[in-house]
Amino acid sequence: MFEQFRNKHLYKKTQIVVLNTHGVVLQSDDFIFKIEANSAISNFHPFFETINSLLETKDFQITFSCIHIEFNNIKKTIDVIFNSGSNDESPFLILIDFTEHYDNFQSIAQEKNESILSFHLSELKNQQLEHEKNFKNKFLANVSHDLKTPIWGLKCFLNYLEKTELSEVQMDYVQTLKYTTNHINHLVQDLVDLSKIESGQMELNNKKFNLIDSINNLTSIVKPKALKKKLDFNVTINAISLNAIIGDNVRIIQILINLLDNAIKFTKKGSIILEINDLSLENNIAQIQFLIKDTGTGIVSSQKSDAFQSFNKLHKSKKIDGLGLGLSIVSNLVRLMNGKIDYQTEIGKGTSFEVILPIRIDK
Amino acid sequence: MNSSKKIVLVGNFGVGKSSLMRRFVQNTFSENYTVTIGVHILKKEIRIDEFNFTLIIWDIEGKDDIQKVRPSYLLGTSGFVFVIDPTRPQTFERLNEELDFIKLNYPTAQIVTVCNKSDLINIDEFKERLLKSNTSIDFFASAKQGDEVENIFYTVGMTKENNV
Repeated sequence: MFEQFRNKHLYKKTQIVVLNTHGVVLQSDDFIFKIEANSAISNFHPFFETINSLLETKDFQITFSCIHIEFNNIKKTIDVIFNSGSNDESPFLILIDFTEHYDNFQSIAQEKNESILSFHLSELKNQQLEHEKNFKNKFLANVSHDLKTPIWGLKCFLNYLEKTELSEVQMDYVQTLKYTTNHINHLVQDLVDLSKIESGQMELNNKKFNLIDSINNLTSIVKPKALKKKLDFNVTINAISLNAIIGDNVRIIQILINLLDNAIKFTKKGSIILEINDLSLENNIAQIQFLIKDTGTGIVSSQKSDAFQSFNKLHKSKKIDGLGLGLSIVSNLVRLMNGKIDYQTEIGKGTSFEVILPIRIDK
Repeated sequence: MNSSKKIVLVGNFGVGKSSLMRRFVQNTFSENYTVTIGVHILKKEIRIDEFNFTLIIWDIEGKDDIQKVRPSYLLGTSGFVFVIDPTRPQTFERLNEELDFIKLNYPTAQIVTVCNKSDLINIDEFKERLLKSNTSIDFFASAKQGDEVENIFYTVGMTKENNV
């Protein structure tokens, strides 16, 4: 009765297999695997080939841990103790079923190794991206540098040509050429700026200057472009103390001109507004808000996250020229000045860009 | 004549030891990574010239140092296949030291070195890199594509003494 209950309810985890010195199974209790008597143990599983070379020795014991054995659809992970027996004893094997324990261990190892490999993979991807970015910047820097010299030559000779005696038609051609050359020059300058920004070589030249004067100069550049498209152009300044500030005059105006040029480019009728507000002043640092509003086509909302990426043209129309660098340069310059940039847009109604720059007021 | 040879795959974890064994024995490949703990053993019969061999291939868990491998796993090894992953320098930075350890402790064993995942790299560039560190690799393989896998096991199946 006791043996019956024991056989029924005790989970058997240990199996003993007795061999002769030729590796033939003499006896097995078959608690884990059914192993045929009178057959070579190496026929049961290739693992036991290892045992064959140890059968001749005596009084020797060795343990093999964590051996995966699959036999007749039974999969187990076992420890195997081989004992060669003494002179009057047969060699024997003790198989101990540690499947549950090793399965748990496997799950932990899986998690650990996967996390190490995934960390390594992301490191590798970053290196690849960095490599590609460096290549792009080097390429841009070299190409734009090589383009600048012939453009400069072209501009010089067009100026000379303009001063010669030309017919009205010839003068028209010269003006078109000058316009096109300036446009190419502008694109190349954008490439130079972008490669400097992305390679971390762009430095701000902070000096004391009068922002009101700079805005007036900017107005004289931008307004004619707006008027040419029959657009209203208004500037509103609701900020005090902008007469003496410390910052990079050229780059601040570059940000505003880029955004205003875009506004004009994408607006067919209505108005362009530049609004400047001071939001706060603390420790001589004013948070100056620049709003550039237009009544243009608006930007498709799904493009918002990509809007500040280089070479991403918000408007895919072939009629709108440019490389798609303007907003990328603007956002990088804003970031370089520790500022913020965002925009609100409505299709068919217009777009409002907001730039907030921390600007030091010179007292 | 038929004899069996114990071949052990060694190297860091995740280099593709199990994949190489499965590609050779079962001609299968899975993109899913399953960590090996302990040892999985498969066998395959091969024929070299007029000799038949049964290769008993031990795919043991990956270790960053061969001295950490349980000595019982290496008992009676005829051939070692040392596998590296070219995208992870830590899997081959100490290769020469590891090979010296094997040569010293298993002087009669045949050793082949394998760069798995070769489909992911420019092999010539990688060879140049290895040359600088005075490291050489016998096989540039890909368990995924099956490149060189047969050659690896046929080579390691030859005995060191007479190359058969």
